[in-house]
Amino acid sequence: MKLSHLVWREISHRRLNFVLMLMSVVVAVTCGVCVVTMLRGQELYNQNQVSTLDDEIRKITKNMGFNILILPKDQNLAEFYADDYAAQTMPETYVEDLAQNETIFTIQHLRPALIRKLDWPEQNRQIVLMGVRGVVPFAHRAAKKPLANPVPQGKIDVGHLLAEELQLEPGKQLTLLGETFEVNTVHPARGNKDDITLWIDLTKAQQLLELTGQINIIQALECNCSSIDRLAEIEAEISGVLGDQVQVVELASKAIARAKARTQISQQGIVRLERWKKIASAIIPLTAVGAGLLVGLLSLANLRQRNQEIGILRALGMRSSQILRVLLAKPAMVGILGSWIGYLGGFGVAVTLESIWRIEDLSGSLAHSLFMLPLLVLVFVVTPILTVMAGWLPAFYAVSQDPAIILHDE
Amino acid sequence: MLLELNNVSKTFTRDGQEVRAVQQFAHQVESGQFIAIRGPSGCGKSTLLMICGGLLRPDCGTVRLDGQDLYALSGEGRAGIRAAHIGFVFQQFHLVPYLNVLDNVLTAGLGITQSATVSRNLQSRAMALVEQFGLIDRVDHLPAELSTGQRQRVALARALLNRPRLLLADEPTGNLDAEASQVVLDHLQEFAAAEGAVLLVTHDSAAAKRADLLIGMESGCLVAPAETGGDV
Repeated sequence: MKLSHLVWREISHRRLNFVLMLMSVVVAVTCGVCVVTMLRGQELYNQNQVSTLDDEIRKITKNMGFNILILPKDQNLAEFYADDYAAQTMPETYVEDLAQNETIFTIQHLRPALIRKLDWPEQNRQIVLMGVRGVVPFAHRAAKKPLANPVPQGKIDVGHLLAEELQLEPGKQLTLLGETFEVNTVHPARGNKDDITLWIDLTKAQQLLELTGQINIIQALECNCSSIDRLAEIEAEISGVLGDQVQVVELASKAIARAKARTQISQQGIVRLERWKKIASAIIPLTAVGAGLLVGLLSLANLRQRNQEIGILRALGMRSSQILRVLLAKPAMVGILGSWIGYLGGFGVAVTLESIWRIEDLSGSLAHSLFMLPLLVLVFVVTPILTVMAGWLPAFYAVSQDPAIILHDE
Repeated sequence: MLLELNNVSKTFTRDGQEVRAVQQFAHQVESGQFIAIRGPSGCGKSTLLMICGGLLRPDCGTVRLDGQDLYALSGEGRAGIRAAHIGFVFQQFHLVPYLNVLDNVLTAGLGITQSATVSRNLQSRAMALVEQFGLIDRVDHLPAELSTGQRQRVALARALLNRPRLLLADEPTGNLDAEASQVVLDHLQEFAAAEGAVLLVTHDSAAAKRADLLIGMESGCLVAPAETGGDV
């Protein structure tokens, strides 16, 4: 007869003890696996939410104009909003200062401009004149496709309404402040002041307006900053280069709203995840210790029932090591079986709950997304070790009992 | 000489009080001898039996089985000796409750390293013993489904599985009726006749009369031995 036969027969005979041990392990493993898998689900959900918003932001910003304005410090913002251009000016070198500085990361696509609302004497009408020189690239970054192109020397871009009323088209000539320009581009209707704007080269504009080396605005596009207080972050970077000589205005836009939402959702997701991790860090050890205690107590009860059996096996010549193997086989089997059932149960419950709460937010097969091989291996390796450890003390105590006393007392 | 006890003593301490179970006991057992040990309850008979079987280390003295000092061996070594050379029969039978008759007999083989051949041989021997003891129609039954007489026969068959040289029986007829007792004692006599040695601890004078030699014990000490049928 083999020792395994002894083990199987005993388990069959005392099924309740075995089932109770198994249930305690299954419950503990199920709880642990379910909680850890749901944490994984929460992580994926967070990533998915943020990723979706990132995609939206990318789509929105792809065709978006500039949304960061750097203005002279002493420019009155109320007047700027009323006039739609800055009356004060600042040196054009500020753009180079920003572009050359390696600490600037929150903004991109720098475009300096000199904008003035003036009377067009040759046409007797009011226009907006914008001198531009194209996007200034950052020295420490790879060149990007510019959001706007410069206007070549001697040429002029015309807003839709002006072109329509003055019947201007590319190639035609016009005179502005005594200078003759060839029409370069007629912009499509935009429904804003661009429709009555003329764009020329910045240096020429500075010359015509007698503001050599001066600009009154730097347009820029903000990057996807990580903090919620985006403007403060941008201001901090810019003031680090230009000091307090400028002020920064952020134009509200759908992209900014999305980016703020993204940051907020990311933060909330992190907070939620941390909360779940705290709960998990309480549940998992509690259930593990509880299961261990139950297995130990059930082992002790079982071995007290088997006292005389152990005594007679010793008397018959079975070695202590053999008897220990027999006694620990049951907790080992409970651990192995419990880890399988518990893992499948816990994973199944987690997948079911996630599918009820969040399936539309998780890409691909849900179970595949939530599956973690390290968790599987950990459960299958650690659970039998822990159950054997739980059964070790009662088994060791039982084997160390004096068989002579047991058999005599029985 | 099969078994030699030399100046064996054993004292237990319970609740601070010393109980001298065996005091300077000396005796020799030859192969083929059927020895009954008789004495009042608590005189140390069962303790002496345990010491002879390598289950209880004496405080002093030696126990030699075939010249081998049992207590000079490790616990594992004594277990091997018990598995191969010593059989036990107890008043309470001590059968494993979840094993059937055949498996209970085979538990005596667990202490022996088993090759496939040894395993087959033990299986055959167990079946032969089950048949010899009239239990063939109960071979698949659990102990709870047997009478007391049948259970003791299973215990006896188990004790004889490995063809021991020494059989230690502690009140084997204590829970049996007269008929069942006779069956057990018959088998013990047969074993002794086949050159095995039997040490029988008993209160039962009828059982004691079946022995070749009667040893008296009182307060852990050997009292003057008597021939078969004599009173202490």
